[in-house]
Amino acid sequence: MGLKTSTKTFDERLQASIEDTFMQKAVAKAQDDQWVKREGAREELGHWEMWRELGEQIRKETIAYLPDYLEQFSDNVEKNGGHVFFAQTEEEARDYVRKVTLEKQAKKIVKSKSMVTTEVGLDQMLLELDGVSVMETDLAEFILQMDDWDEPSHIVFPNIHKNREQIRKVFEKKLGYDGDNEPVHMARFARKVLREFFLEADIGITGCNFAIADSGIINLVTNEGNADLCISIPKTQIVLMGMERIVPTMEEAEVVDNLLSRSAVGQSLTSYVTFAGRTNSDESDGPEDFHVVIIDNGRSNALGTVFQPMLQCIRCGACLNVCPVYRHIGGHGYGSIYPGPMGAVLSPILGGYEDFGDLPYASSLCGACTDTCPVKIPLHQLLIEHRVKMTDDLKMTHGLDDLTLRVIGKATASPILFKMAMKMDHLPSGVLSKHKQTSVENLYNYDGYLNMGPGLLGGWTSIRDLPRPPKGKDAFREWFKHHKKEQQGGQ
Amino acid sequence: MSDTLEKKENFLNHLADKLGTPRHSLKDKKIQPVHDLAQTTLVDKTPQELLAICKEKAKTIHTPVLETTQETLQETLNQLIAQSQEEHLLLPTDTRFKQFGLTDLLQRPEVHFWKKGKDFRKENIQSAAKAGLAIAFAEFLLAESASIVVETSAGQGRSLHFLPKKYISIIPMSKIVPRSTQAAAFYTEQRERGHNVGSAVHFISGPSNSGDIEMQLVVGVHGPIEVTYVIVTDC
Repeated sequence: MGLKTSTKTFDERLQASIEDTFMQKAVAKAQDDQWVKREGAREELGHWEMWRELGEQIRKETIAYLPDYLEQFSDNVEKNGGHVFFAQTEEEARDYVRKVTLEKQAKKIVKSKSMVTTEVGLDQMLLELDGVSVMETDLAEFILQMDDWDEPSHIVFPNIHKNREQIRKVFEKKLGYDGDNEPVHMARFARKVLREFFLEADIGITGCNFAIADSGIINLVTNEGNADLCISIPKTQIVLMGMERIVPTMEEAEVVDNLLSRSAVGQSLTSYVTFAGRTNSDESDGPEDFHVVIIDNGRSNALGTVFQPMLQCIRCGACLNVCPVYRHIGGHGYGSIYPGPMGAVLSPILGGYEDFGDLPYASSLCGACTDTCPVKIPLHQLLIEHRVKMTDDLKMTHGLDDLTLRVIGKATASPILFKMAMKMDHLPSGVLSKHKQTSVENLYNYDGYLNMGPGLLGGWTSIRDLPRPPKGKDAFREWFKHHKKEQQGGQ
Repeated sequence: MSDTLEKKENFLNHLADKLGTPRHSLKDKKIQPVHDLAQTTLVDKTPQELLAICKEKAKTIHTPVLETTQETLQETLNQLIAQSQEEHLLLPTDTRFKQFGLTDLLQRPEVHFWKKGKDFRKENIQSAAKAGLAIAFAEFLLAESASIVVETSAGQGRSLHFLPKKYISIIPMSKIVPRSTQAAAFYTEQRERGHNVGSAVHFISGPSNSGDIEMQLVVGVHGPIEVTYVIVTDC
């Protein structure tokens, strides 16, 4: 799996999401639960808006000097005896990991949850290597792997779309589990399976929440502790990091870790916040061989553009947890490993508009994502910027939609045409309408509702009632004209 | 120029071009925070008040906090060890055990020690995996999040904190600080002064947990299933 998680069209994915009622309930519950936890944790900290300003400042200033901080980090990793590889593309990143794996003659690889390894398609590459087995060790990712590498659907809770019985069946089929579907029993069973694998692992592969420039160490934020085992037991560690995941010192990392923990899972700090690099010469565990792969893979498309603030993202998932669109279509609806509002902004930057051009339109533009973002990324404004770019700069809007919008543009720009259209729109809409009894849900009833709108209207009328436009004589302007006359007559 | 170095230079030059800022323009510039909220939060609290905050938070992370004096520390640990019913104990090689008068603990027959040096890598990891209970001193206790801070050293590896089934952290009261700010500042300053810092520093808040199955909290998927904090009231 790479950045793109589906070959289906956006409409096909939406249809599948709408039909998946378990997923919708699970996502709604997760959003509601996380709302309480997240807001509680932020309130407990106090002065949340001021903390956001600090988070924004740290991320913004770091990105502004990205080449310098990356160079400082790289120099320090090498000073500590580690290796850094700068990968412009996902192929280069995969090739480097393949090279290290083969050099080390590794047989068993443990991985901790990492979006960027999924983005560059690392798992498939490793699985193609002869005699190499790979184990995702985060419980959710482990479940997805056991279920034939099912797609993640959330950046913090990748497994949110599965219920306990589905998981039990996966464990039964793939691992011979014969217990019940109690989460604690299944988790303990997974613990045993994973422990055995961990103790024989040759390489640990992790992502990187943040890299610390002044010391050449990385920062991992987890709740399970699997990342800590990945950086303790194997003799070799390979870190894959998006190039923007860097902060100057531990002091800035501490601030963003606090923002991340509260925003992602509603905790003051997650159970494990770790700062680590290559093991020191007098220590006996940890990686003796430490590699960091710094990945661009399209991120630099955002630099120096209106999309630069997207690189501030700390992957907390708070924007997903407040998004009304995500609530209905879930992670799989987006067709990208980065779903929700952050994914709708980031995916086109990384993968282009041909594959991800629909995503900026999968938004209500309500601005809830922008309001909750702990580092103040103007997410909904960036979604509009994508639309502007596609429409105005790249002229990607074409076909019937484009023609319709052009006609609407001409008509609304001309007072004569606009008035004519206002007088005429009631009549032709009759053939597309059906009659419904007026209710509290449908207060405005001018001889029916459109239920099969043409062209652009179709997206709306397929799931909502659109009142038929009133007759010209009943329209607001006419009503207002008469009303004024009546008032003047009355005076 | 080697391929790797050339790639690095090309990579960084590309970013600088995109940003429109020349490389090495940062120099020694440091981020001047827009406010000092991180540095001032909870700093007006006494150690006793911080401990009260920590105890409240510890309830939410399923971690009992016990208070004891240096004189009664051995007895407290004996009780905890007995309650744990674990036969294989793992301790770091750490002079603080002697400093705090825990000589009886060091002499218990079921105790295994983390051995110093690379030659003992396999033995140490296997011992940690087998251990029912590990006991170690913490460098700091972060009141706000009820987290302990541990630093690796030759006598105290990373696995010691993650592989044993149960874990007891001993924290002198004098090591309680308001929040992660103070711990991060300490390690940043250590590095700036050129002092040695262990290759890993962990902020640990209670036992390992997961909410990955229907978002129901499950304790102990990977790391310790039970964690206990023992505070030694030395101030």
